Amino acid sequence: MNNNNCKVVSILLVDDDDVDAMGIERALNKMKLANPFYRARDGVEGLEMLREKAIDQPYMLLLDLNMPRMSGIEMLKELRSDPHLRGTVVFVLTTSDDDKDKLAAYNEHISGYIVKTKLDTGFEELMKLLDHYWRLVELPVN
Amino acid sequence: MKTEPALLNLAETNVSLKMPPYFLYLILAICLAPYTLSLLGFNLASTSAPVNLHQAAELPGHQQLEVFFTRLSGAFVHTILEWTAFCIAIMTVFLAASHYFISRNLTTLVIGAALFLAGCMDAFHTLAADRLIHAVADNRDLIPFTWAICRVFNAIILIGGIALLLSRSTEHAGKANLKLIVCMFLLAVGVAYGIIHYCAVSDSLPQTQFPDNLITRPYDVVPLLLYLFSGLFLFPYFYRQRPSVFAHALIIAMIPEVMVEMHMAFGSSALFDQHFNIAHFLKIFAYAVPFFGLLMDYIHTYQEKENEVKAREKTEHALQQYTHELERSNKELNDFAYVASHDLKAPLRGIMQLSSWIEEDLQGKLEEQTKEYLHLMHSRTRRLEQLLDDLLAYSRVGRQHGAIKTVDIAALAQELFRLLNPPPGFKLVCADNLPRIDTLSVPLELVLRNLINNAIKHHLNDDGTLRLSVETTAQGFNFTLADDGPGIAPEHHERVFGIFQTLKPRDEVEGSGMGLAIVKKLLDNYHCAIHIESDGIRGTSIHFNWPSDEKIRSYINE
Repeated sequence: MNNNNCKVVSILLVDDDDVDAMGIERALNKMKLANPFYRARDGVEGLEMLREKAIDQPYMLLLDLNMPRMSGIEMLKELRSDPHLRGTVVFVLTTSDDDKDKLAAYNEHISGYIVKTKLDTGFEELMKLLDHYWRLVELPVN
Repeated sequence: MKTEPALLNLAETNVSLKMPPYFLYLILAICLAPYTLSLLGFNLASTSAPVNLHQAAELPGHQQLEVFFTRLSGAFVHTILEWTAFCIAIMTVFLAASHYFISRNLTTLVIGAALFLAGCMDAFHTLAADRLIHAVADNRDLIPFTWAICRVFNAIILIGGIALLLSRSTEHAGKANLKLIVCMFLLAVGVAYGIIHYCAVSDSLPQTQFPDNLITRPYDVVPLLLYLFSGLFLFPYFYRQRPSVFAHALIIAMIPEVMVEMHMAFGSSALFDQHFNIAHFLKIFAYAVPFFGLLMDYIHTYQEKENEVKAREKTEHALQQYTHELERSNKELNDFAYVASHDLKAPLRGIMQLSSWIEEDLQGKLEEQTKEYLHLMHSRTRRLEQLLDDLLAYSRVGRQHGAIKTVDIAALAQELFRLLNPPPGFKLVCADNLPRIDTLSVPLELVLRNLINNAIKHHLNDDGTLRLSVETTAQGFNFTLADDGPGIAPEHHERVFGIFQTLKPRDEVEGSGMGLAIVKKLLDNYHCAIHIESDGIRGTSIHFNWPSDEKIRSYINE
């Protein structure tokens, strides 16, 4: 039997925008979700946290695209070429509505592409989606 | 501007259309030199002692020949001088022909041909004088008479050639002109042959030498006057009309011509005397000057072409640079619009979220006024977000064409209309014969959506009628979307296509003012035009054209 269901999924947000991070925490609190929440400010920090195994398994990544030091697409490429991290479930969460960005992200096998401005009622909608997702979808454990 | 230097250069390097001054001085010196020498005591006549034929008959054969050669020295000098002039005439005609093929300048061709014909006459004169051509008349009459005839012919054919050139406009220097010139040339050949024939068969040519008179050869006065007229009036006039190095050389050539005739008309009293020889010597230069003029014209033409090529290369280079710069700045602009709207959106979202959290957290504790402020803050940030989105959309226009699909225009328009959620009283009436076309559906859809949206948004009433009609032409399709809304005043017909242009405060009619700008940019992309027809009181008709299916394909392939 899988043990995913009894283990709560951790969420790692890689985003340089503090307000977005607050928004997600706010949504988690509001929905009384107890998922451990981690935050990295750019791709470099995010990769460090993943490689140091600072995040409880299983986890999902919420990844912004435009960030200092290492952009989201660059981090995705790193992840997919790392044998330990290549299976990571990643949702892109960005302000960019550009088709080029979407294509580039899906080419790196992301699970979904979410445009921040289209989230009408803030992050609650997104958190609902993720809550359903990890309850229904099996996640890999390294 | 960077094109200016290139144009200036062209003007600066424009080579002068004159023979160099030293050439004129040289010709003057040559013309005066023989007479000066003769004044200084040099004998330039071909002198030969009379031959005693009885004595000569007793000499051995080779010495007999020697005697005759001495006796004929005048004729030899005459022949050499004449033949040199003739050779130059031949070279001139070849050079003139090749010059014509390079520059397409009829002047050189016509004058070259005229000089050649005159040279041929001179050749006949020489051959007849040397008795290589059978002529009936006595040499004492034949040589001066044919000389005079040749000179008159020479002067007239030059004047005729120039007159012919002046009578034709340079604009249509085409085949008709060339035909006329060939006809005139053949006519001149006929005349020349007639004269030669007459001179050769006539046994009593008129007397042309009067050694005791002031004017020793009155027949040479005619060409003298003709050359004076040409050198002083006709050729300078021609040069002003059609300036060229060759035309300038023709003026200079009149100096030796006049000198030749002066020596003949007033000096030469017998065959092969001093003035006779000087005149024949100077006649060489009368031919040589136009020849050198042609050479200089050649050099000039070459330099001009070279300058043209250089200027063109420069312009092309500048053009390339412009294109490059334009491409770069276009790309920069696109990048800017993208990055700007992107980076501006992130903090904007922050503000929106924070304000909504404040509203949420202070629920129930807020005064009405504060609530109103928060609401306004929310709507303004929303608007800014919309502006940025539309700016982004505008910057993206033209990046991709999308695919060619079969579009049923009536169905597409109705669907777009429905999706835009018009108030219930609105309707879209499509003309009966709207075509189905194979075209780029995405941009056409975007154009129609924006136009229909505008028509609905700016309509003051809750009920309105939009009418869409399409006229098919050879070039493509002419669309007309008419509404019965408030109309657009004529003074705004241009302005509304600018970016961020609205005619109403945004608090009244929410809109970024980018819709028509996007439409315009889309249509520009496919070389299509749009214009507004409205009196500003009632109703607006928007006309735009859309390329035919073939044109669309060719634009994509570009």
